[in-house]
Amino acid sequence: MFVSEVVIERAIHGESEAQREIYESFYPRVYRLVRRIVGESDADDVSQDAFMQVLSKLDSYGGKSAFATWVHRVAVNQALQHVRSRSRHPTEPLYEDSMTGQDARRQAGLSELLDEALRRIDVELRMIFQLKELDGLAYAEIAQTVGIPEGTVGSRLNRARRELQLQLVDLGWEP
Amino acid sequence: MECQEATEQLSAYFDDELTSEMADRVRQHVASCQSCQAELQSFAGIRKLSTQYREPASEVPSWETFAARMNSVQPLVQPAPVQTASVPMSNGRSKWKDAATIVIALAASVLILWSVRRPQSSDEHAIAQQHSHSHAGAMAGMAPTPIDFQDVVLDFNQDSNMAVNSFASKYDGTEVSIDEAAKDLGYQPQARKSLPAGVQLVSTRLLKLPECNCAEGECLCGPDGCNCVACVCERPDGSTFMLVEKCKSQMVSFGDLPVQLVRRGDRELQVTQGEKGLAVSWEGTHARMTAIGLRDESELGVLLAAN
Repeated sequence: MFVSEVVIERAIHGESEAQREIYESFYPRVYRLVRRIVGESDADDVSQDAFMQVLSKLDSYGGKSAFATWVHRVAVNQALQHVRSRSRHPTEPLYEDSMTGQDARRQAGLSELLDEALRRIDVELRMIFQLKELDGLAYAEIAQTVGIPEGTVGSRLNRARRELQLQLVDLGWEP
Repeated sequence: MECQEATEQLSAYFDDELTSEMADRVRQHVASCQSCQAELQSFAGIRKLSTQYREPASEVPSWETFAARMNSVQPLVQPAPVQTASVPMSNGRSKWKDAATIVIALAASVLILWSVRRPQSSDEHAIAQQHSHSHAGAMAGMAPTPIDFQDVVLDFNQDSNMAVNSFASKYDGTEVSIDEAAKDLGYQPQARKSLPAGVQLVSTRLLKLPECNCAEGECLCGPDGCNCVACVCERPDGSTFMLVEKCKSQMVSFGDLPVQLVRRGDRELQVTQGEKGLAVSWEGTHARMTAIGLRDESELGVLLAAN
């Protein structure tokens, strides 16, 4: 997942092939980030909106962070704005009806169990947890992606892990 | 180390993000604290669970599919279930509804321009020609840094006075009378000419913004940089919006906030939403105008009509 400065410059000047290279290099990761925040049903639309933002703002990328981090930050902002907008105008739940503890135990799949526990915690805590545990980002990268001070990452991860543990236990998880 | 301090550092300790000195202090505490040991075990269990997590596979829409969508006329803002476009707001939620509605109304009544620089059709070429002055630097590889309004839009959501003070402070703002501002600028500021009904000018500050690249004679910048003006305008209910007038060559950015480019008549507007209304930037007769905290389309219409 890397594009050169030359490609970025060419994309800024409207070269379709360069824009395509950026899109194809980053879309899968952007989609994953967005899906975790907005859910499956809106993930495609919001990811594409995020990419429109990325391509329209390329000339404001100042090189202060890695290009990938900048792209991810734009996507996270787009997704969070979508969630906030939806919470103000609720038309459908973010996720399907939550599982009960019994449902979770019946399903037994560990991925489903973690998914369900993640759905139950605050979206911003969920996002930071996923950036750490699923993407393996360092605190500095998480801070740049989410737009918070690096010193705040640890305290939010504390909260995320503690709340997640409570939800997992509620769902029947036995560490 | 006290348990509370260690507890606050547990994630950073677990993730190996502490300095060696701090990590040693936490380690010493944990060795004698069952509660912290249990918490670290829990963190480890969750990490083990995470390593077994399998995200669902995803299919990437083709570039052609995305490009077709990008080229279509479609608003970025999610349609909101609202009925009117410019009803005065009475609470926080209706503010958001109206802000979304205004953008949608703008999008519905005018042509939305994606600012992606894709190969231009003849129509788009005409648009680019109209703004050749603004983009000349960028096209020549000498793009001036835009004045970034992201922070002031976000600050405005919390506290409009703080936002204005912070912005003015950043650019050496000097409180002046509107007459002094007019004298300095060489023309009557917008806030002197026309404001929405009932709105009053309550504060005028001269600013020194960087990055003036106007051609000679196109603006009235002095030797110390741009003579620009920020006005705070107050509605009868005490709420405010901010209006900044500055050199046309100073481009405006809203940072990472989602922005729509909207055409209104022969003007191209940058529009983004804040919690306290819209932030809009456009090129006026004398200056580039940027308004923060507009509550409805009628307010924007008054400002556009005078510029």
